[in-house]
Amino acid sequence: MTTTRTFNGGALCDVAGGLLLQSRFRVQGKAVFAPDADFTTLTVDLLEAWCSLGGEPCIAGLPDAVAADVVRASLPHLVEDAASPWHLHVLDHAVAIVEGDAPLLPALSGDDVIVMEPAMHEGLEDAWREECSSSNVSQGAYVSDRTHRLGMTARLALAAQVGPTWPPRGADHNGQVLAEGGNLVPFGSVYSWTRLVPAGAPSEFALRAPLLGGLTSMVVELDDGPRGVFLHADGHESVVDIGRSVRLVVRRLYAQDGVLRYGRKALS
Amino acid sequence: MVDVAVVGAGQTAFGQHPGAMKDMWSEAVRACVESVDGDVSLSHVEELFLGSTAFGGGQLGNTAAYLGEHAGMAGVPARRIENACASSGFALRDGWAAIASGRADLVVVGGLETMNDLTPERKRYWLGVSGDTEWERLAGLTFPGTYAMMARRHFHEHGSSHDDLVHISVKNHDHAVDNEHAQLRKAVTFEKAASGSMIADPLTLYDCCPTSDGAACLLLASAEVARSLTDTPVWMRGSGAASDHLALHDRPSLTSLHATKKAAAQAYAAANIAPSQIDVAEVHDCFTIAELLATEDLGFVEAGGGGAFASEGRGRRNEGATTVNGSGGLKAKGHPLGATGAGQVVEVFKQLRGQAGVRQVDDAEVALTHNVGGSGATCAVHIFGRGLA
Repeated sequence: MTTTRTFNGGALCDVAGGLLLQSRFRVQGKAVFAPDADFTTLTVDLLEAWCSLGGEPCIAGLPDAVAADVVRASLPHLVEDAASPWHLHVLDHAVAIVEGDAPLLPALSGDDVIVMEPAMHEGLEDAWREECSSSNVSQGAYVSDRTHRLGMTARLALAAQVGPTWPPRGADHNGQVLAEGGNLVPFGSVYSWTRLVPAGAPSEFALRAPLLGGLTSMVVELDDGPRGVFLHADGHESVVDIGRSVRLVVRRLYAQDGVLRYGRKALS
Repeated sequence: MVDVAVVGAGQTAFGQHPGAMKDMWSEAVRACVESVDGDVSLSHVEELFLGSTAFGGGQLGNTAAYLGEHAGMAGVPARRIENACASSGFALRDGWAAIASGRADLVVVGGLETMNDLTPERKRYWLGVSGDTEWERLAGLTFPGTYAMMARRHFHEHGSSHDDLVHISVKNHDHAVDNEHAQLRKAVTFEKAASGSMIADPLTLYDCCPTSDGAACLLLASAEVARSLTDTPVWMRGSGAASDHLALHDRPSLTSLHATKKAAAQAYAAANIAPSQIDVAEVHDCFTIAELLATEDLGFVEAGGGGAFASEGRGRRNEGATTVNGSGGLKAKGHPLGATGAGQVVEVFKQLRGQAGVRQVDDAEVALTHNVGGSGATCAVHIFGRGLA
């Protein structure tokens, strides 16, 4: 059995000529995604792992199964060059970056697996389908598609302004535009937190919060200084306490106007 | 500056109102006019400042003109002022400024919200629209969530506990029993309030204000006009207001509302009084932790001492230096967002004129209202007195 380690909530392992990340979630032995994950989030996770291990941030291209704009906004240093030897392959709830052909998908040991009840999995799939339908429109608080897209690099790559200032501002005290200040590292610690019962969750999460048993939200003090508020990644059991270290990973947030929106969530 | 007084104040009961928005507002206006000692005609009103979030969008545009017309003020320059839950606190500040500046002698300030005539789904969409939608709400936070984060941080930094919050809930329910306008006129035991169902950990049902319909109306007058209408005007001695970061994560502290401290400092300075001189305080307790923070930020107790202030019952009617939320507060009187700030003044008006009946605070001379928007992005603080100084 191939040795795996957990990375961003997934199972990471070395494969011949590269790296593979697969979902740890299983329904009756069958691989499924985490409640807020998909090929897009898995690809971001894999490429973050790849770069953190010294891999070159240059790939031959992005597979059709991923939302390219989300991956590009999450990884601003990623280069796509058809001549690159590094190819991304989509497998059964897994992605791999290798030179050459797709590797075989290694089996996970029981300790690495997170078991999900079939009813919960089906319920979440149905909820996402309904949430993604174009008839699911806001009747009140609303972030337009344009506003969401303009904030994508700040949200996904933690792009900051000098200071560092994050989330970005339109002007400083002198009315001047703040210069770009690089990307914050996706690490921090819990400054405060709460767990909302399903009825207390914002309406954008109304379909999924009951299935998840509520939402955990927290103010995270980033290692680079600024604070932000983040949901806990769905499906991962964890203890949340003030001061506990967290890592911010890209996950689905919600869907509106027929479009999935992604952001960073915390994993402890 | 011209001295300004409140010469009339009236409100509907807060809670589940059977009427439409215009009926509710008209009822509050009538109650206000009836409270004026002398004869007054709404035809003499020069300006109308109406606070409302226009919850539900029933009359989102030209709300004030629509409601003014329905309550005998057609033709009066009217505008809606929106600062979330602090809407009518800021309407009051604008009404005060209109008279203090010499521009007007008689103005109506009011607040209104209809929240319970919406479907549950629509209500849910509208609740929380006053937070930072892009960064907070869509990271799972609603107002119970933001205040829960403040509570947990206060527990962490100052050693306060949920029991302290339970004491606030029990006190405000006790106070509301004597208030004919209160939504929750029901005492609760400590044990019951301590074991409420969880809403946003650590806040339970008994830490949260109810969803309310309601309207409140005030008549403000210049000193000269006030003296022609009553022998017992309630003088506005200080007005303060401030804003802060909208999102919780942008604030240096989660255990203090900067906007409250800044607004209070302005109001105390204008009135030339100290916090210890306040006899009656109607503070913004949308959640019990909000009252705990307010007692600290308004200077009734030192920073970090709010838990002890609550658990020792120092805010109970006639038991400490300052009666805090003798009306029952938002927690038990109710919280019809845009009407809350004006409703606080209705209570103060009665207390300072000795008309509060069984809930009268002994020897009430000086009172304060504290009206917060959202989780603290806006705040208006006003100080009132039986005398001008």
